[in-house]
Amino acid sequence: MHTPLNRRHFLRSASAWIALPAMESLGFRAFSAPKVSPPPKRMIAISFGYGITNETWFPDPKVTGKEYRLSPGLEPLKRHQSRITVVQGLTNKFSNEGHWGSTFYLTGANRYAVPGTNFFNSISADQVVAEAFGKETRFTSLQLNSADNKDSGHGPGLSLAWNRQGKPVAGMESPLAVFQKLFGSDDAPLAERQRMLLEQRSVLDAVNAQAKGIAKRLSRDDRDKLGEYLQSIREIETRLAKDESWMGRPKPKTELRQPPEVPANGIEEVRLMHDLMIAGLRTDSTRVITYRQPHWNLMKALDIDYHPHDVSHYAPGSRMEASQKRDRKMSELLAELIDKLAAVKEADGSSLLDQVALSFGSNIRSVHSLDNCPTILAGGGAGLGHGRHVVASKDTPLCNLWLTLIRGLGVEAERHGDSTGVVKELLG
Amino acid sequence: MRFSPTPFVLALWVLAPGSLGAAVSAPPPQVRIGEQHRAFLKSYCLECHNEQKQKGQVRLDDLSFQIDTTQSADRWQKVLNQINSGEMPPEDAKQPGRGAKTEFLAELSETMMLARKVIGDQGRKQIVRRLNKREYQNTIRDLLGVELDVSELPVDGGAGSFDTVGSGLSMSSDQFESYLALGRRALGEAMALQKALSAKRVKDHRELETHVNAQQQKQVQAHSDNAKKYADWTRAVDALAALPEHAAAAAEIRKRLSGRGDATPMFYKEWDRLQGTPGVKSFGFNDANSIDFFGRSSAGRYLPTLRNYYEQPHTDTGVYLGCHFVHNHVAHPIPNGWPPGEYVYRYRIAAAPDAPWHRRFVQFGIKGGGLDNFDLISTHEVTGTFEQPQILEVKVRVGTGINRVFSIREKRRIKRGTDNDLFEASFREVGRGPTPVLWVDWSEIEGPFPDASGGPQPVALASKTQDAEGAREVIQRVATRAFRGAALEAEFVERLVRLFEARMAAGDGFEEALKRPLSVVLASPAFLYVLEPNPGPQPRPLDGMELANRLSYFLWSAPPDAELFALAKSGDILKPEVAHAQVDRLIASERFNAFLGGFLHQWLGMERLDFFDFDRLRHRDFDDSMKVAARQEVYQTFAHVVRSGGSLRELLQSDYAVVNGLLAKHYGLAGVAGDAFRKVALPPGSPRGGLLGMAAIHAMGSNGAESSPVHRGVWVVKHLLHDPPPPAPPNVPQLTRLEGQLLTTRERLMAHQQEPQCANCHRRFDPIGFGLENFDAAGLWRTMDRYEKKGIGTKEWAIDPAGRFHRGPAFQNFFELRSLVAAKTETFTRGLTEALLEYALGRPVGFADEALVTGLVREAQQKNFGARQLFHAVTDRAEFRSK
Repeated sequence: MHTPLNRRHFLRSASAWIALPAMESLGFRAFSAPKVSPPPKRMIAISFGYGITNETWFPDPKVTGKEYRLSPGLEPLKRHQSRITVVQGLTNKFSNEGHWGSTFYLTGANRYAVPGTNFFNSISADQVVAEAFGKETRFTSLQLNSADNKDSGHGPGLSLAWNRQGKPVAGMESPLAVFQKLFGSDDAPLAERQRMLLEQRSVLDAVNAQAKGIAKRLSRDDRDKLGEYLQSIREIETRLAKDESWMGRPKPKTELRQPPEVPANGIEEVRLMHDLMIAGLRTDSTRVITYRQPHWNLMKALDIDYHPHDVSHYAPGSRMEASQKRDRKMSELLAELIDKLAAVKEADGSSLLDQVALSFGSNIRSVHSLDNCPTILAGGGAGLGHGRHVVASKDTPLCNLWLTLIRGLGVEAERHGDSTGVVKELLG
Repeated sequence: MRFSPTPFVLALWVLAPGSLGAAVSAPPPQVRIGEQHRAFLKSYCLECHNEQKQKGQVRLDDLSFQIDTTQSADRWQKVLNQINSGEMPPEDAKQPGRGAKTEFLAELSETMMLARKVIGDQGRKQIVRRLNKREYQNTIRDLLGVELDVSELPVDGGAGSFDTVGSGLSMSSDQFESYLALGRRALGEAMALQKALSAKRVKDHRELETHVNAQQQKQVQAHSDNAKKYADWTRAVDALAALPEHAAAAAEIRKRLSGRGDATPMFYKEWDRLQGTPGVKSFGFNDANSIDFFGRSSAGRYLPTLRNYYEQPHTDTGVYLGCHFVHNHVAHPIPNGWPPGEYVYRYRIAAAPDAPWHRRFVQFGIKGGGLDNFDLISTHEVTGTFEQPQILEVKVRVGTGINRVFSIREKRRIKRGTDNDLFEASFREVGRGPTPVLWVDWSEIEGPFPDASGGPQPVALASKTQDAEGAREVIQRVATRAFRGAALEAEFVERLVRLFEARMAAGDGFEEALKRPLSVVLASPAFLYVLEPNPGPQPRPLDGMELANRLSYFLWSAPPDAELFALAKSGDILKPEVAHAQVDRLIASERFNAFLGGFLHQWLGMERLDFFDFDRLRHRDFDDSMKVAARQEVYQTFAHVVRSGGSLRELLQSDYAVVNGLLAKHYGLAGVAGDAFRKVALPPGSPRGGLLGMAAIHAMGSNGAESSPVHRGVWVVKHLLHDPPPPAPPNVPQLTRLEGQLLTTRERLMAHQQEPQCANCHRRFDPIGFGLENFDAAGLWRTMDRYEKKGIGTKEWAIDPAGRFHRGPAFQNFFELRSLVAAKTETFTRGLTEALLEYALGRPVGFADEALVTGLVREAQQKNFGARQLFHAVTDRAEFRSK
């Protein structure tokens, strides 16, 4: 058959065949590092907002170490038991907001730290890592969201990430938009793109000049507020500079199909985002990814009619069953993600899973409980051994875990948030 | 305020006298834990947490009872959390009595809430604010005449304040880029719209029976064919099975299937076990499964339903609105090539005489893909009869985008699977789908019409010449209007003209090249922020333009229109009587809806109304259309009180309700038909009238199936009695000891009263919630309630609404409860005033505003709590008129 359609189909699959070995052998990172170097470390942090079912999600805290039994809520992770670590006992001690599962999750900040305001936040762990890792990649970090985030117990914020200034970092909720950001090709010729860049700079110059003129006539507090606008412009300028340095290098190819504008349901949504994460990491487009995963959309896909907040206040009966059903589905999806990470081979024969520090959890345990934040770790990125159930000593700051991961990934940091050190139980 | 102030509230009054003038700020109150609680700390905490022992590195003996720093607040927070979680005092230590623990927790959590407020107090600082998402959308609409989809912008507000509060309105680089892209999209739409202004009006009329019935007839034919084929096939199999040589095989199959409900059809599916049966292919099917499925469903489900449809009396002259596979909506697209603009849809429509009330409504909207996907725009009552059909008119604004296929359908839930549920329910009962009851003679689209909203004329985007001079002219015109009085620097214009020239040089046409600089205007700070520059520390009075902006963003969430602009320019707006007249005009306008949806939605916490799909079996009528109507009742009642010069007391209790036909039928109020909301006198003894009688309020205080006395009680103390409880504390253990028991709602929730961690707050609102138990989750009146627990049984009980406010008066029933709340109009007004100020000023109302608030409340009281006067008074105040 020689219809055009089939020809194109053939060409597409052929290019995928060609692209793949080329990537592995020559190293797509050759752009940034001339020599073949060991695969880079990566970080993925996922939060699920409203918590889990206390009674059936945690393994028995009395049985720690390698010989523990997975709980019913974690049962779908059975095939990965040797690849994951379940951690109990971690807490963000300043958190008092029973509906904010993501706002302070990676920051550990004290909402009331600054007198005269009723909201304060500080840099999130992923952004600490991104400051170091992001220099090497086209995108410093990638923040993923779901369209349902505002109803799913994640709390204020635009993503899991908060910048150095403690301001929210924007995230993307459309898998299609993420795909286009990572892989959408810009067919315009180089000269045209250079002119576009120049034009974008003129746009920024125009609004920047206006903002500075206005700022002169404002009070200090107003100037601080308008400072967010100027900071946004500076960030875009930095990004444009980066774009310019990447301009000669085409966006990587991917085998991934372009996702639909709107995912079929919450389960598909999570799977699509997982695939995009992996595609982003394996093409080394970025090394740091956070994800506020859907909660309500996931429940809708499971035909659960309750609002997520209602389920988080489960009582024995249908709401608790709903909560458990959702727990299992979340574990199932996490297990799929681990499968996918393990299936990607790196140039040195290791797997992507070996290079990533993956964390999965929330600031909320269940109901309004903010202690014993549910936490699962996987991947070899931070050099931690797995297959264990770790119960940290009482009142261990959750930020100790983030510090452990930050340092494990090779980023120097004295402390993070309210950390008092690393989680020793995770080392050795 | 409470019925009986606690010692702490008393202290606040003493420390913050209300006699200060508007410009003087009072010092924030001192926050102290009452001395009487020192004994509690000493008895149950200090034994381990003293200077010597410091168990767990915690020392409490040096803890100051005055909480005035973040550090001391954090230490007390820890004490509160430890006691709440039940970890302290430890199990083996001396335990406080229930009463003492309850009182200590009540005091501590109240004091902590206040301490956080005092420490976080922003003073009277009014921080420059960005247009929020709603205001941005409206500002674009007024400037360009385009309804822009702004869903890609982040949601504003979040840390518990209004979306007008400057400090909470942040900016990010992604957002800046969204503004650029959205502005560009809006400009493209606006240019198309302005070109279409001269377009000739066109009309597309459809006699629906010719459009639809032919298709439906084809469906009937196809199903008849299937049914016939199936009948032929089964007859052939039967004949074969009757032959002696197949008797044994047939008997064997029948024996295996015996006892199954579907034994007969299953028998045919095993036809190939009988030798020599004719293949299904010769009957036009691929295999036994498909002939079985299609044949049986055609014969058993589709045909009876379709035949029933055609047995209806008027299918020759029009069509019926069916459901599921039978003509489930009437779509009528705006034909390709028709310009953007305002169009009118018309339908000649009637309801069958025997149609029940809940089926006498249509939904107008956009039909999505899939069987029953639908985006609701509006709901309309069908009052026409076959003898006298009505003409239903709906206006739509059409862009150049893809959403140009509008349709109507019978009102029903907008949820995947609804059509199937309705079909199955009817099928079980009468062996076919529901009988259609709404009939449409024809549908028609006409347009475009000139904009009839009375809103501002969009700024002209055309120019005399198609060159740099022309571009400069347009840029200047658009930026001047877009900046709403803020200065337009020549240098900025020059930069934009150069951008235009760069685009022209790159090969763009004039219009395309203009979009670039104009989209920069729409992403620049002078457009995105409400600027009231004042470098000094002292407040200064606003000028006319600034005041006009404040007024119109307060009451319209939109920029000033031409009239306000003229008054601003002349400076007349600064005169109080002129400002009052303008406030009245803005409130009377339809654009005041933006205030209702912006302020009331946030103030009353109405996002909860969207949390649930209501249980379709228990609350059939509380569907998407009813939710919209219920929400509108809150908005339109408020609007009525303000516009009619009524008293705020009417929001708590009144002898009328403001409803439309749909809601009136839900409430069982006779004699109200049509879609407009209007004031309706209530029969004596009606529980309606005032917020506590509204379906929306009770639906929000439910989980979509059952009422939630806790949510309702919290809502009442927070919004009506201005006594917000502390936020739900973290880490309180769940109550599980009532698992598996069959109890009334009250019995279940009484457990709260026994645990001090729960009781210290729940005693304040649970009793109020019980007093509202006569309303079910959909806000309908009931006297009985029931509880069903799988595997255990069912309990039914008569509702007992009697109760008592915490440290306050008792009530026997809902009506007494409502009267007690209505008697608190002053307290209610204080809460409303604070909320209104925060929304209008764009800053939190803090302790320094005590005198301002008290003054406004006192003035309101003198004016019989006149709602409109409160708006006048707020806009009169120096705080509203200065920056």
